[in-house]
Amino acid sequence: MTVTVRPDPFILVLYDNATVRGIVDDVAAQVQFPAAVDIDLTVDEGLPHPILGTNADIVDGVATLWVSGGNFESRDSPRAFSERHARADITHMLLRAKDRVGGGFEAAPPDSELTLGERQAWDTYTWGRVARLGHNVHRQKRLYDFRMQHGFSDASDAAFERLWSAESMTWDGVREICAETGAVNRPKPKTAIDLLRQGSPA
Amino acid sequence: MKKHLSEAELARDGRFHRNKIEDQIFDPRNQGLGTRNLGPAQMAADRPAATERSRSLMHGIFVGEIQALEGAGRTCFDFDNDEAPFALKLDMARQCWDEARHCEISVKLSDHMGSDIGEYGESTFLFAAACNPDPVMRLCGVNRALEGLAIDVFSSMKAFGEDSGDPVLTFCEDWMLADEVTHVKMGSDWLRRLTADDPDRMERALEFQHTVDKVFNLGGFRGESEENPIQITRRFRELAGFSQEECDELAQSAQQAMEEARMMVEMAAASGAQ
Amino acid sequence: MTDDPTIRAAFAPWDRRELPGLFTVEESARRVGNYRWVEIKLFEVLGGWVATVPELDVKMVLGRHCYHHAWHAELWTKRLPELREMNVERMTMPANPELEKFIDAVREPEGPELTIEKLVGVYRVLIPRKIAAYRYHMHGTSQITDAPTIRSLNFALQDEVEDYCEGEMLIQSLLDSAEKVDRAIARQRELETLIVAAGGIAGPDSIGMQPEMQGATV
Repeated sequence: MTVTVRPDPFILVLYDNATVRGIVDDVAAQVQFPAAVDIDLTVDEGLPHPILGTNADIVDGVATLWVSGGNFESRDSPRAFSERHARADITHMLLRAKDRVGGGFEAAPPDSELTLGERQAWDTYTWGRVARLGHNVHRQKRLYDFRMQHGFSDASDAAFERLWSAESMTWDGVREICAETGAVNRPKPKTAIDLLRQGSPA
Repeated sequence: MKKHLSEAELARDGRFHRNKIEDQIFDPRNQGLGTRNLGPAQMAADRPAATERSRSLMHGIFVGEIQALEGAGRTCFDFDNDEAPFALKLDMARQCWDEARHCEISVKLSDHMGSDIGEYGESTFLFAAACNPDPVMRLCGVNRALEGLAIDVFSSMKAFGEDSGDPVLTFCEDWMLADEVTHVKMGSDWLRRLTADDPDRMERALEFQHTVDKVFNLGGFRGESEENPIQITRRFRELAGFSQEECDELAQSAQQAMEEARMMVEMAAASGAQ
Repeated sequence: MTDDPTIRAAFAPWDRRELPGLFTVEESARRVGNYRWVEIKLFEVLGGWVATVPELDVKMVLGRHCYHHAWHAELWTKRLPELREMNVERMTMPANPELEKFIDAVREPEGPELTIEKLVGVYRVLIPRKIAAYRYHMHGTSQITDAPTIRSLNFALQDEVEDYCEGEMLIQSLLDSAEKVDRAIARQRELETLIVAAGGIAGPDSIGMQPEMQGATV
């Protein structure tokens, strides 16, 4: 498995390319990421916290990951690196990439074509797994994120519980949940779901 | 205990960390950010990073409420009866109670949204505006400018609550909004009473208020177009004693700030291209 | 006696209120003026302290309590003219120089590390003294002629007792070591000594322990 992290070096923020690569290696081993799939991670260092976002796709057989620099940013010290946040977000991205390879999400469209509800449901399933891997995931934060796309209702909260505690899930399962909560009926968003990644410098 | 505390002396527990204004101004990412499309300026459920951005704003509101509470409290203490009559200080004590309640509401809202106390940085320029040694200036800076901003912010947050279907956020923002109208009205009423025989003092106080208003118009943060994250809320401002002319002036100042921000971005982009 | 059923005793059998009271109009006004002075000094310092205490829950409680005492001062502002004192500021004064010294000492702590000293001064010394003085006034004054003062004292006491409980609980939650207990005791001792010299928030007769009492009885 080859791991590539961009940019190299970081210029706008105080992150270290080798450190990030080391974390990717660790996490790939921890989640048993398929050894045959290379990993290409782009950190958009132009975006600060709170402008967060991640993407995880398989492109030409390569796990192509994108993350806002703000995701890895220390909340106390602007532009400084937070290993805790980086590990959690890299775990999240690699689990989703692994889902695409053989984890029940092989039929899922690329991230740019997901609806907000589908993406949020998949994220919830993933954050539950990240928490069980030992990361200190803020459950209420994830619940609020889920409610934002699936509604503030008992049905939505019940769906969140199922996704959070699920040990396995499929793409069809996510779509069923979106139908159940009514997320499928929401109007099309005004902007592309991967708008931030689209604006990333080449 | 001495009178007139500076912002550097505000007491905080270890969870809070202070943003340095120079870190924000000289952040090398600013130039690129100005030219990127980060989605709609106004809060909406389908906006990129919607929840994290609204959590960050909510935390900003929370620390703002702490500073508003501290500012009102200091106004109770800092002035003798000659400088500020008892009735004014009674209103400030009432504002203390209201702001304490807003802190409580903000903590509960932050719990609801999934953020922790001190998770985001704190800027203290709100309290800095409250530090004026003249009580009339302080009233204008705090009760008219900053509480006026609070009317705009809470109204925008309430609209976000309605848009996203969040009943808790909508409910809480509406209750806080009602209190803020009261606070601005206190400022409007006392400004008139204390400067009834001193039009120069009123003019200086209003100039100070406009200066504070401009700080919060910076970068197009506030205005009346879709490009502004926070909308000027004319209806509630008028209830609170702002005249239509004052609202127009604020809107013009906000528009000017946005144009200046746009020009700076264009200039920075042009110099980068060279 | 006629058979007119509408003729009834002026006081219902269960209305045991008595006419006599310990205080004349002037004495009641004097005390109310003292109370007003204390409430103003207290609300000012609670407001001023909000920015100086790092503990978040203490900050919010002080903000809330600040208004309680400001409102009590407003109750007394309204009562004084009704007690024939049209110049409210003239009667708003400390009972004696010793009380002024006591209040200055209560208001003195400033630093962020002195939350215990601030709270002990207010909630273990000053507010208990206020509760005592208010209750004495409420029970001692004429239930009929001075009813408006009693009503205001009742409202104020409701806050005072609630605030006392909250403040005491905050203090207990902060005293988590022998060293902090020592600080609280030292502070209380310092201030109790001062208020004993003053007699109480209305002077030596704050709770009726003087041998000669002011005013007429009927």
